Amino acid sequence: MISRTEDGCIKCGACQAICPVLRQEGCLSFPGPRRLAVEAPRFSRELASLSSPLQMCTSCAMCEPACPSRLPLTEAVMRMRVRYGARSEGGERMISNARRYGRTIAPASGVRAPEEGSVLFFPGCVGDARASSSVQGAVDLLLASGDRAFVPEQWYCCGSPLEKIGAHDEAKRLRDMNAPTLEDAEEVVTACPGCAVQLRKASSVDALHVLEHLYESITPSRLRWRSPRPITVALHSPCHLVRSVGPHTMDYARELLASVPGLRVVEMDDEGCCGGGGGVASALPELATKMARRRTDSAARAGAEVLLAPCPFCVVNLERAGGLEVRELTAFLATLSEHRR
Amino acid sequence: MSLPDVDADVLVAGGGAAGLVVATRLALDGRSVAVASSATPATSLSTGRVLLDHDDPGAEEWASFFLAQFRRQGAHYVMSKRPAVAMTNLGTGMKQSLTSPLFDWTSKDRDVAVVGLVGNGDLDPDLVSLEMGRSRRAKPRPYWFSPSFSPELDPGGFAEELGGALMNDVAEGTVVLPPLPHSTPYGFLAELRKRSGKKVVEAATPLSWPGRRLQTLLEGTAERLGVQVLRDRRLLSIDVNGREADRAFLSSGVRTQRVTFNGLVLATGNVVSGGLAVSGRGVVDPLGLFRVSSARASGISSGQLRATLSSGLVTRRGKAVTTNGVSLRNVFAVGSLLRGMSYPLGRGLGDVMVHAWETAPAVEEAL
Repeated sequence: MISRTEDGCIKCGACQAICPVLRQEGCLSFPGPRRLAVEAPRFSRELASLSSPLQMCTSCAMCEPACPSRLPLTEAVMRMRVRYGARSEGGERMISNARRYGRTIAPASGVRAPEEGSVLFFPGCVGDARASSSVQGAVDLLLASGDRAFVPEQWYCCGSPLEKIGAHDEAKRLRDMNAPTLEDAEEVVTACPGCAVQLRKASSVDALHVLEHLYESITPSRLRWRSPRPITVALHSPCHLVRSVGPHTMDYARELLASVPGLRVVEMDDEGCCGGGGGVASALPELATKMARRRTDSAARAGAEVLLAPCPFCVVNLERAGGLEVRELTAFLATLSEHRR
Repeated sequence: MSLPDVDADVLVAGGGAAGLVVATRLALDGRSVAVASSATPATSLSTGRVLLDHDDPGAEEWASFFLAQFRRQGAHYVMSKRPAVAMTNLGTGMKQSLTSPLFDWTSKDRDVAVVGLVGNGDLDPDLVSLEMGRSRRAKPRPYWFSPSFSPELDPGGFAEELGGALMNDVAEGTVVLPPLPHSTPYGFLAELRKRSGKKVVEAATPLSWPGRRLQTLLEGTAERLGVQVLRDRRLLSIDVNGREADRAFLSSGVRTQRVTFNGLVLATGNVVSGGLAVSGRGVVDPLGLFRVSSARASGISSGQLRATLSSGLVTRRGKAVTTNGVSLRNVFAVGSLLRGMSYPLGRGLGDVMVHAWETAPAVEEAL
């Protein structure tokens, strides 16, 4: 059967021109979205030679808005991964962790937060285990603004990374386990773009990204900033935030930053992906680091002292590059806000 | 959750050449305008080619306004009354009136070298030499250059190395390069000219950078005038009340957004850019609101291709007509969404932009 992706391609090459992995690695090591999503399914005999390039896609989805036929290219690449059956070591580890702990990464939370309240903060596996300072910062900022934020005692993986590697049964099991907690909450907020989208799509919980919540529910006047200290920052646009949750989120981020006295946002000359998504950080750490370095170099060239990213996972990957301070956006704002508790 | 509402005098659906030009002129007259753009417009994928009918006063008006705007953004386009020749990556020439010094290779030039850059697949000098040699008196001479600096990441190093190579190893006086990356600074070719002592021009190729540059310049012009460009939004629905449309819903990722307006301009392009869709029965409006039909078209041998390209929205005195034959008082259509406005090989963006420019006053009258 020919899918819409295969049939709808007009061979214009726009996806190839914009792909950040192709730009980084060159066409000899990475054949690009068109080859993986459109051509590979037709010429399945060549699939064996594509197993390694399939692991290189960061699922940034930059190819999708570039595509004039608006084809779901990222989803098609993920489908090819599952079809080829190549599951990386990292993928196997995620599944075994999910079976054991209900999360794709072993829990390691050091996040201090009330266990009851009205705004449920969903930390997400990466936030909890790899970027707890980001999660802590976001919770602190919500509390500082007067929100009754809390982190429930029991929560499980949203299922997004599991579905991407084809572990649908496991994702469903965890979704069912999460349901009672999430459905009881008045509001669900998360700092992780992946969780925000997955909870809305699969669990029908209208989870907000923390930027949306800050902008929509908390008027900026409820946030008080410490006495101004001049600082120059650059703002990274996380792929899954901009292209899945929605492009409005970055407008919100800019407006929030504009309300902070003394803070100046500089523009980077190169828009791009942090390099860590789509399992690349665990399967091909060198590639992920090279791509992260492009971002931090670009921020440094623009004169930024700090690179801000409204996504815990991007922060973890961007920190690999070293050389420039990288902070999660809300955690950074928390350090500048006056806690009113 | 739904996003905060947007309220504007005019909503323009489509952020390509047509949409941005109509939005710009409306903003110029003090109207508040929001442009919703769903994906990469066909303008961005084009050669950025503009061919104008110089007897048309609208074309002169359009050009005198936009050329000044482009210059303010650092891009020096010039008007040529006799169309100059630019080159496609298949090695064939094409004519255009609005030329940038980046690709003003005129047909008079004979002393020409084509320098391919290893790793840049947009221009093959051997192919160009062969093709252009057939139709011209002198063949451009092909060269290959293997850069050790990235023009994006280290433009200084790249210019120094390439400039030296062009001066020392290339005999010809004019050098044609493949399109340089989008982020290359506008002054870069001037820098190369200074270093090499040669006239250095950039080829225009489809699907490559000149189209993106033009898109960036048009967006820059619109935004400077206060047009709100909503990117990566999709038009989900339009509410029609009697003979007027008054609001529309857009999607932004997983959220929806309501836009209320007094006037609506449809500039969503033809099939390639997703404005119209091909169903089992031919070309249709994906929203199912408007009437679509075909104009007479000649010169295309494939019947199916002709039907697709010549299809477009039906309008009555510029106003869009619904499926039940009613023309809406405040809904206009511009650009290649209209029947008869798209062509298989493209007459360039001149017709589309001039039409959009000339439609703006009618939109204002309906507000």
